[in-house]
Amino acid sequence: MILLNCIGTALMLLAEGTMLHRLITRSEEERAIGVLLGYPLGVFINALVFFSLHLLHIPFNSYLSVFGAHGILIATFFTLLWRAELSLLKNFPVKSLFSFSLPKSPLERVFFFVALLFLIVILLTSFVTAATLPMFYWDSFSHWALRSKVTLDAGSFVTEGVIQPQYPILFHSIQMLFSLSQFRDQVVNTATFLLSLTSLCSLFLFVRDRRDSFCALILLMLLTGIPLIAIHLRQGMGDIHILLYVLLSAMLLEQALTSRERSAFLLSAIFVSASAWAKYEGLYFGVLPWLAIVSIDALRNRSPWENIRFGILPALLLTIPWPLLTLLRGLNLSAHGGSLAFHPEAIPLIFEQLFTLGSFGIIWWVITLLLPLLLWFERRRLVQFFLEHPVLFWGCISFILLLGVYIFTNDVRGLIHRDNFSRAMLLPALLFTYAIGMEGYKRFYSPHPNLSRSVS
Amino acid sequence: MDQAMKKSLLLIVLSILLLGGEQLHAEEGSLLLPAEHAYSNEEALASFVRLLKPTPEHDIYFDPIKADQLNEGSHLRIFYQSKNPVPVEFGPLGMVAGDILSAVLPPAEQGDVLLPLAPSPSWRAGAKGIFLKVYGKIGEESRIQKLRVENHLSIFQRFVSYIHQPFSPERFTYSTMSELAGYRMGGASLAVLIGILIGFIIVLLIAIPFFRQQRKFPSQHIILRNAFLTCLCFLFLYEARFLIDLTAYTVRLEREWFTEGRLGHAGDIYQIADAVLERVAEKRDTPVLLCNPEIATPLRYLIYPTPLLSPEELVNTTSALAITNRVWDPSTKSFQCTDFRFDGTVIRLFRDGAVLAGPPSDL
Repeated sequence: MILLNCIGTALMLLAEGTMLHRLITRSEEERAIGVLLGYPLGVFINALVFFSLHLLHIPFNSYLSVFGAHGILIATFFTLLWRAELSLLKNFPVKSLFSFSLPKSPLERVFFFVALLFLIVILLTSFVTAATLPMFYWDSFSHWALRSKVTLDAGSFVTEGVIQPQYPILFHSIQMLFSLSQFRDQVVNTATFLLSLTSLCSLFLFVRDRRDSFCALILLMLLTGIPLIAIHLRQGMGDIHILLYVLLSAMLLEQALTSRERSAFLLSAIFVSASAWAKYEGLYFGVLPWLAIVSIDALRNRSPWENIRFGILPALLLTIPWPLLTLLRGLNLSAHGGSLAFHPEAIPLIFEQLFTLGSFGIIWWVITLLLPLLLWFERRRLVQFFLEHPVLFWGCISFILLLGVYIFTNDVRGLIHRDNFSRAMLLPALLFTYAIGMEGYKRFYSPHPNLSRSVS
Repeated sequence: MDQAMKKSLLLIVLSILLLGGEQLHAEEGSLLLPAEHAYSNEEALASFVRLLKPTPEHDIYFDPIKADQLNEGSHLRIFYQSKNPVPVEFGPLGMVAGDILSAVLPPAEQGDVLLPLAPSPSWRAGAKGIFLKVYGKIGEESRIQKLRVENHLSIFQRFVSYIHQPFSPERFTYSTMSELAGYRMGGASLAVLIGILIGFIIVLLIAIPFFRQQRKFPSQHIILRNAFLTCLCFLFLYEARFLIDLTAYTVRLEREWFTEGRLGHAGDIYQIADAVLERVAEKRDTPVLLCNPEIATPLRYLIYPTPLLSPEELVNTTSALAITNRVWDPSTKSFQCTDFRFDGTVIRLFRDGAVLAGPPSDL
């Protein structure tokens, strides 16, 4: 019964998101990836549903209110699809979901199978941990899952009896949706693991379609293989979901800026807003850099209206509600305060955490060696290079912002007490890895990367 | 000399190199103890508690000793007196917290043990000073008479120790979500060593063609190709190392959970919560008194919405259930809760000495 309930709820989110994706893209080529993006989209819709129920003072601890709201949404999406004569299942390109090409050279095959093995180990251990073990980490006990239990009990987003009530609600909303009858750690962890898994699979399909299966697999292995990411994939905290929403938004933004596709723009805006609903870091290091990049692009292309209509406006509209409610309730947007002061003691600690400890493995060493090399080769067109690679640009902005936060504000405590610095630095690490991986793969095979944009 | 003879000679030389230090210990009469590398600090402490079985009257304590004047060496020699076994945590001074080693010294009138420092990945030859944490029971203290650091490793054995160090497993604790300690070799971070090595190889791959092709740099494409391939190889190697630990950790957790109902660093907490919830199901809305605040955060989550009271909060209310620790006897009738005692009955004893107690009449 629990399993059926869990599967049914997951399918509902998947269907909701897939319908929204189909409505936005209306493209036949994007249908396969649309199914995988459906779950992350559905989870975001679910957060908005819980938020709306809270605003309307409808208690969300009953099946009727929550599933009623979801039912209305599904019916609306279905009507819109029907009116637009778009089908969800008819002529669905199942083959494109599972089409992989093996590399031809023996060395590449070795890398391919080793990466596949590593990826299977990471995802399998994460899934087994999430699906069979209870909550395990201190912050899950004190912050994340406890808030979900208290909130579900109250039927609204209460500020009493929870730690950091100003924190956004995407993670809690999905936990509550799967716990309306009973809160089970294994069920909620599986639900959030599905969010990570579908996001990663979307990323795989996206890269496969733009490069090839080999590149997609290696890149996915590099991203999930950062030791702290592999740990966060076992679920229990919200950080992994900001990262993956930002990554989805970044890959779509790159597509949007290259192809000027409106749907990619809109989806990128939706995903970056979703990251801000997962945790405030998504607002500061996700939405703000995103707005900066889109604004610069608008000025550069002299077509600001397109960027505003399909990017900036939806991003702001979808992001603002929760921070606004938080401010109206008299709460701070940051749980840590934010007094300004120079903290020189942070500098050696930053080096220690990025380069000597085990949280990142050797990924910051690789970034430090490869990024300057890439930039040196592009030194004559550096600005152009950054504008052509928004993910890299985003990584740089978030990295600089994070350094600023930890060197010039009292958030330095998170660095000194080793609380949150490494977790925060995962965002630029993933963006840099993705950007360098994509660019590196292209240049690996093409001596003239500026002439051919893609190898496949 | 034939081939077999050569091989035998080589084996003998290697054995002498490898076993030289060990023979020295035997001559001096001290007892060589193995050093353990616990999965987490919480688990090490829990094992010491199970060993010493402290009580509220004779609680567990530890003496931290930082000896920075001691010579450099590979082994820590401890001369001591104790009626009880003496759990110790030790390692080189200034080590990464996760590299601490542990051992249990046997009870002895005139104890003399030798503990190897080299299994700690923070150890390197030439570094002075050690850190030692001696655990015991109040009222039954052990006496550490003398500490000495001695060198019992040949150059070859040191080299073997350095090779072993990165295979020391990663520690997974309550704060693993925020930070991982990583691997070290001879006190240096493995990430740093690999990072420098990658940089060196990339420079080499640029320099070799430069000098071969009449001081002409290879093309950008070749440089990037070599750099990417080098980085990828080392990323895979590091990943393989980490995945061994991650998989072993997962297997260990699964086995613990499904066989004992315990979970790594969290210890008995889930069994305590289950026992509380079972009792609360019978007598609804019973507040639970918690006397050991260190488990308050996970327990509050696990037994929610059952209220959890601290001893200070008990003043205005009553409680039928209490959780305290340092109880080893199921027939105990009187329990200590911070600074007061109360009478009750043991409902359930847990492996690490925690107890769920009910009212005196509750059998």
